[in-house]
Amino acid sequence: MKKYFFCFVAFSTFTFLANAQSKVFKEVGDEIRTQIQPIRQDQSLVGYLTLSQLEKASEDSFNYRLVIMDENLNDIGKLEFREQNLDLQAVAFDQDVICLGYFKSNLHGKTYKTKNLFEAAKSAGTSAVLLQFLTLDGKIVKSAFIKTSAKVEGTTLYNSKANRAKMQLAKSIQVSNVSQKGFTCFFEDDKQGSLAAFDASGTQLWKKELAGKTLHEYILASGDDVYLLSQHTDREEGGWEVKGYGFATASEYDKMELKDKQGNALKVLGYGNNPVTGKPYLSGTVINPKTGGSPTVKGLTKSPYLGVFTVDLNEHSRKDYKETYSYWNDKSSPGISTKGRIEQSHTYPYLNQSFKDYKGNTVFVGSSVIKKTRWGAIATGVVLSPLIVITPLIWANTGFSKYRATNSDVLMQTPEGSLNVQAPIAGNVSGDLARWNPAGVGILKTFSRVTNTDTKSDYVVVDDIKDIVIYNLNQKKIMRTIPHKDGNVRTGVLPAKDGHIMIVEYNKKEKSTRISIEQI
Amino acid sequence: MPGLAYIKQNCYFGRQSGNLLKTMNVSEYIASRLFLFMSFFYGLSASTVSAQQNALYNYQDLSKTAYTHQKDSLKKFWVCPALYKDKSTQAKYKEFWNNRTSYIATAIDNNNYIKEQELFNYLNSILTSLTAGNKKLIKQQPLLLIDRSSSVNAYAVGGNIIAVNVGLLCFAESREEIALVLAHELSHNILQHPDNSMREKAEYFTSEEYKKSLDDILKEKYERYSRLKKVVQGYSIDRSRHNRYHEGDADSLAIELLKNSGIGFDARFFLRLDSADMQYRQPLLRPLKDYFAGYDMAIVESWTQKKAKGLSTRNYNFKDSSSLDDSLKTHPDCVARYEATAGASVTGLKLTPIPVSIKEKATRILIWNQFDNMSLTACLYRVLLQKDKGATDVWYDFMVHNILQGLYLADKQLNRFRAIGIVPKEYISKDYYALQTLLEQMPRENLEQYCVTFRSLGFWQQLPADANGLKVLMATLNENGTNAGKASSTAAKTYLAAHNASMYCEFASHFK
Repeated sequence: MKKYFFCFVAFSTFTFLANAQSKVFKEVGDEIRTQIQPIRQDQSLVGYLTLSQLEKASEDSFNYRLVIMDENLNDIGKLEFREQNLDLQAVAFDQDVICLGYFKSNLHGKTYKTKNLFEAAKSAGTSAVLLQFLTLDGKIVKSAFIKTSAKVEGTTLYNSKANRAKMQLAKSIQVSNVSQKGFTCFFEDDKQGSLAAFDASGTQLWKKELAGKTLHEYILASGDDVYLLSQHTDREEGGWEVKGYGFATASEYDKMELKDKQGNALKVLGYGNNPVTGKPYLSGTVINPKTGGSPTVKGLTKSPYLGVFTVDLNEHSRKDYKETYSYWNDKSSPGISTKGRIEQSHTYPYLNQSFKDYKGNTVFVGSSVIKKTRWGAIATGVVLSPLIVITPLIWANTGFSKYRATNSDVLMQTPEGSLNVQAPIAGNVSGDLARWNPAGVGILKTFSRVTNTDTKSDYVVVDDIKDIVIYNLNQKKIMRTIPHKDGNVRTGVLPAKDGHIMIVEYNKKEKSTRISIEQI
Repeated sequence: MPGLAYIKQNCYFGRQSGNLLKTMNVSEYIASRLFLFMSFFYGLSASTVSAQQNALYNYQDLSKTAYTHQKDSLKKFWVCPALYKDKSTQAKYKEFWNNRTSYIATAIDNNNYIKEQELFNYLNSILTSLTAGNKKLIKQQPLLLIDRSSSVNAYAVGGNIIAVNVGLLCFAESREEIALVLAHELSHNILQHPDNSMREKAEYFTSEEYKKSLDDILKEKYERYSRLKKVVQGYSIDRSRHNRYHEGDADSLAIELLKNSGIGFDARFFLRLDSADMQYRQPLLRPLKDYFAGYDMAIVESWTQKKAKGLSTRNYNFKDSSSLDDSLKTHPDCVARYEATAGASVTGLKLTPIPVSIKEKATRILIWNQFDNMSLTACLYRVLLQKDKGATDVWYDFMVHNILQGLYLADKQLNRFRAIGIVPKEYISKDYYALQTLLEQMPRENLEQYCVTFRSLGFWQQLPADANGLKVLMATLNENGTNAGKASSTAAKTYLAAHNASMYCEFASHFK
């Protein structure tokens, strides 16, 4: 029963001799770098891919080995090739072709003995986005290159005068399949963003140059279209806009700046395809212009959000976008106060994720903070009030309230716009949170969604303070509670195939990692 | 990857290979000694055996207890001889020597071997015949170990030890086939192949040529991995070629040993060697759901069909990565072995069937071992194959219960994926694929319900106390609640105290 062991071994060829010639094997083994990437199709995980940089092959190139695995981590294809320094950033699959997006550069990672040598070499820096199109057994169908402009930066190595060159894109490559049509890819270099489309044979269909310098960009393939969601840098949490493009024709659809009818900025928490209609949607919270924008823990109690929203991008024209808003500041949401407090649990939600369920509702989940009065601090202050200086110091330091993260809140917005408070997901209660910490940093809970398309069930994985909690939204019950730490074993959860999660267990004592793909 | 590795191990290296990987040099050596013997579908010759209520063996028959004395002797008497004046060569030789000792000692401690008297007597009687007929070559009868691995193999490790896998017993059709395997392994020992191999390796790894080739790699700036790979492959190919000569020599001598012992030889045995992994490629006789109908388990057809999107369901030019390049194979091609020995075949040879009780016992030992190792799909598939052969003994129903309980427990412990051991479709029959898909996709709630239902079926009355005790233990293990861990430990200890000789103590001991 206790005989499990699994880890990625990139150097197994030589293991049988390893004990005999450790120095050579260690040195050569230390040079091997391995990256792992999930392979996705239509936003679902369908396999995995590992890229190992085996060795330096010449001054400017490396030998690589790529292993393609199915969703159960069984090898199905392999490829060995030589290239310049590569960083594998995204992988997608469609029509039996895998599309890999690499950032390729000639100087990244190189070291120079002095700053002068580094400065002299800088001008020779070149970089490109390499898109490789492979068959499942690892044959290259085609390779495409898009030249990029990436700055060469240098970092001085610790305890040395040597400089290491660093080249990277302003925004990493994103690749997505467009079902039964091909692939789309987005990246941003120092000058601009680029959105490109390729058919399944790797032929470039079109490329658009977009204004860069945004905070975030996310692509989403939906039916025959590609959508780009961007957040501009000038407004905290808000400043989002979305725009669609026709995959076949490169036509541009109406842009939408995400604001409600009163002009309040919207914070996007969910962006995907509606499982009922297959059309894209956006969802999130309406930012309070007075108190919103990256709230602190204390700020969560000051009504930083006014309500929630869903935008269904049903057609290509702005007038066809369906916007649904549910506000609590106007008392129209039962069970939620005008300040956004959940009445039954007395908690203030900090919503983290939202998505459309299989009934067309939009579900919002997130951490919640409970506020309690610090009677101890108040009493101490009162007792010490004759000492004029001490009491204000105590009260200034501790405040009159304490804040703790507690059970996770779930809200559900119907397609008609009514907002309902759902039963909370029982979770770990934190210690006292520093009230001035940003809510996103202070509350150590993260949320992800897992679906089972077969049973049309939605689950939320709460990566809580002590445990990982898997909650079935349809049945409204906790399916599993997995402790993060059990003796010497540290457990984490990663995405896996439909209806499953990948469990990664690191045994500190045995220094081994066990990976398992388990039913949710 | 896990599933793949399972099948690979199962067919070629068996249970011990996990440990072998940790003692690399021994593993390489033993892999080269594998006889890799197999038969046609063993079911064709096996007939239904009447219900056996007696225990298969006692817990104390497992090697950790049964071979304690031998293990101690091994450590005491296997002293590395001083063969080399050169200190580094002698040290390297000693390292290989000690690895071999520790491999056997660890395997004994891990209960990889079993001293089941009936199987032991049967195999040992063949070994005795071979020893008696070849007194000049075999001065002392070797120590026989029965390895519980399911792979169709036997191996010699030198030091007058021969190991035979239970998998071989399940698949061999006749006494003569087993005798050929034993004679082949004896030949390796007689020809001192294991000892020579250790010496040759020690000499090679401490040779100036080898050291220089490695030093040269460190001096190079580029392609160090490729250069190292070349050195290793060069060595491996050389060793493999060498080993193949050894196998040919062992085959020739084995025929002589058989002849001297009056045991018939038929070269056609070698032609069967190419179908090592056939057991999981055999189809079932009935639709999968029929096997579970008798247990009040309504199997939903869709559970047996892959629903999740994934690359495993796609068509790709699958290459069996478990097969070695021809240059790396340690054994000659089976057809070549047949052709080389066909002339020595005894015409009109009448084969002596293996007693049904031996085959039945070996099969059950193998099934239990697979269960205890949590290889649940493979284990269940073997149970279903036995049912296809007409097995009606309630012990097999008991094992189906255990497998389902084990699966539920594995699910609870986040170990279902590994317990199923998902194997790519190219390695297995459609039925095996459907079975592993069923075990993977059966909803947890249904699995839990089946576990409860199973406990109230009528067959339990026909099972002995230790089996019924295991039912209680498993029910406790699968209970949920805050004190589940403590309750499991207490239940395991209670079981061990109440049934201290039962073979099922092996399972209970994991939880005490």
